[in-house]
Amino acid sequence: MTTPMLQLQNLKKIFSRNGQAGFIAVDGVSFDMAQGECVGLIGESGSGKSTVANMIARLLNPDEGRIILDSADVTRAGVRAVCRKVQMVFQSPQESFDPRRTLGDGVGESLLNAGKSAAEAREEVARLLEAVGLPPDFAGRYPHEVSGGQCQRAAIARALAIRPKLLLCDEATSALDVTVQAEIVALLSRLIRGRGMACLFICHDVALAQDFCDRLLVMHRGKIVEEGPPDEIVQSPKQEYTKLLIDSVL
Amino acid sequence: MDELLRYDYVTIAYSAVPVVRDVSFSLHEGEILGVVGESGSGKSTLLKAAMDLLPPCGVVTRGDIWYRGQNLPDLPEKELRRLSGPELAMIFQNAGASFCPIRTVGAQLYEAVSAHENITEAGFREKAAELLQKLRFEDVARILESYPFELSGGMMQRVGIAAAMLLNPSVLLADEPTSALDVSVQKQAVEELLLIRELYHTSIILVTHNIGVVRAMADRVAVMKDGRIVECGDTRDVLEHPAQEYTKKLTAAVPKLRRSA
Repeated sequence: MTTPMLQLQNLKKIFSRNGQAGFIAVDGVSFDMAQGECVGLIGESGSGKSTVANMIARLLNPDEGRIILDSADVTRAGVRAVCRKVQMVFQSPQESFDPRRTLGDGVGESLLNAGKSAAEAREEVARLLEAVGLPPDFAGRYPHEVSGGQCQRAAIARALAIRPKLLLCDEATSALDVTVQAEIVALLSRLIRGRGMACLFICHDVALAQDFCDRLLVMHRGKIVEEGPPDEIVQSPKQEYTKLLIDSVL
Repeated sequence: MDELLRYDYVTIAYSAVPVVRDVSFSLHEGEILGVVGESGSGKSTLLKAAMDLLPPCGVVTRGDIWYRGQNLPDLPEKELRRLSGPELAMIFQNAGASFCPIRTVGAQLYEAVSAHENITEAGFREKAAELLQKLRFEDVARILESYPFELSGGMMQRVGIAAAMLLNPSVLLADEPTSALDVSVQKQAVEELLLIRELYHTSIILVTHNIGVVRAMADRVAVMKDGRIVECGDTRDVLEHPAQEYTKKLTAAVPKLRRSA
C-alpha cells in the first residue's frame, strides 16, 4: 500500500478568548487523502471545516494532533514550507487578490518567488490564464475590473501556478451564481483530474459535493461524524446528523 | 383569486441606465410567485421599486405598479409609509442586521407595531406571543427578551420573517429570505413562510437565486435575465419543461442530489 499524500491525526483546535479556554472548533479530526483523490468536507457553518483547511495550509496552528504531508511532519511548519505543495482557493475571489496589483502580478507572484525570471513568469501566467479560460489581456486587469467568476478563474490559475499536490477549495464556488458555479466546477474537475492533484473540497452544498468528489466527510461540531463514497452517504446515511443534513436539501 | 399587485410594463433605471426593462406580471391573493435569475438581473430592484426603497439614483422611468387600485410609484411618501407594514411588508436577506443591536427584540417589535396601531405593551406581548406560537416558535418569552446577538443567525432570520407578519400584511416581498442560511435552517425558514401563507393567506413574492427554494415554495415562477422576464409560468412547467434557452441553462446548472441509485 502506498503512503497517503496527506494524513491528519487527531487534530484539535480550540479558540480561546482573553486567555480563557473557549470554543473547540476542531475536535479530534483524523483522515487520510491519497494522491489525486478529491475529498469533500461537508457540514453546516461553524462545524470546523475551514479551520481544518487553514491548519493544513499552515495558516493556523493545531492545539493537538499531527499533520503529515508527503511523509513529512508539517504540524509546526510555516506557510512557506508547505505552500509549494498546498495551495488554497477561497470563497471571495475579489477579496483574495491585492486590489492595487493586476491579476497577472497576483498569479505570477509565486513563480517569481520560486526563482523564475520575469519573462518566464509572464509566459507561464499567459499559459495559466489560457488553462482557466481567460483571455491573455486579463493579466493586465485589476480585481475590480473583472466579474466574480472571472476573478475566481484567476484565483484558480494562481493556485495552480507552482503545481501543488493538494488544492484546498474553501467554498470556492459558493459565492457564484449557479451558471458560473457550473462552469468553475467543470474547470476545477478537468484541472484536478488532468494534473493528478488531490483536492479537499469544502462545501455546504451536498448535491454539488456528491457530484464532484470521490469521497465525502461529514463534519458536525468539530468532529467527522461519517465518511464514505458520496452516493452511499447521500442514499443511505448512517448517522442522525447526516440524515438531517440530507433531508434538509430542497 | 383576486389580483392584488400588478406590475405593468415597468422599466427602472439607475442613473439613466435601465436595469429592469418592460416587466409585467401580477400577484394574486394567497399566491407565492418566485422570481429567479442571476445576480444583477434586476430581481431585487423589482421589489425595492414597490416599496420606494430604490437608491437615490434609481427611478421607475416607465410603467405602473398597482396595489389595490393605487399606483405605488405615484403615491406621496406619507401614504406609502402608511401602506408599508400593514399592507405590504418586506423581508431582507439578513433580517438580523435590520434589528438594533442594543435593544431587545421585543422592544423593537413593539415600536414597529405601535407606529401603525394604538396598542398597549401588554396587548402587544399577547399579540406577539400568539403569532410566534402559531408559527411554531418555542420559548416565545425568551425570544422577546433577547438582544439580537443572543439569538443565532437562523433564529434572527425566522424572527425577522415573523416580525413582518405582526401587522398582518396582504403582501410579503421577500428578497433572498433564505440565502444566508445553512440548509437545515433554510428548510425551517421555507416552512415558516409556507405556514404563513396557509394561516394568513398572505401573497408572497419570493426573490431568490435558489431554484430548490422556488421549487419547494412557489406556485408560479418568473425567470429574469438582464432586466427582462424571459419566461413566466407554473413552477413545475417552467422548471421541468423550460421553453427558453436561458431557463434550460439555469436549471441544468443547479446540482441535484441523487437520492436513490
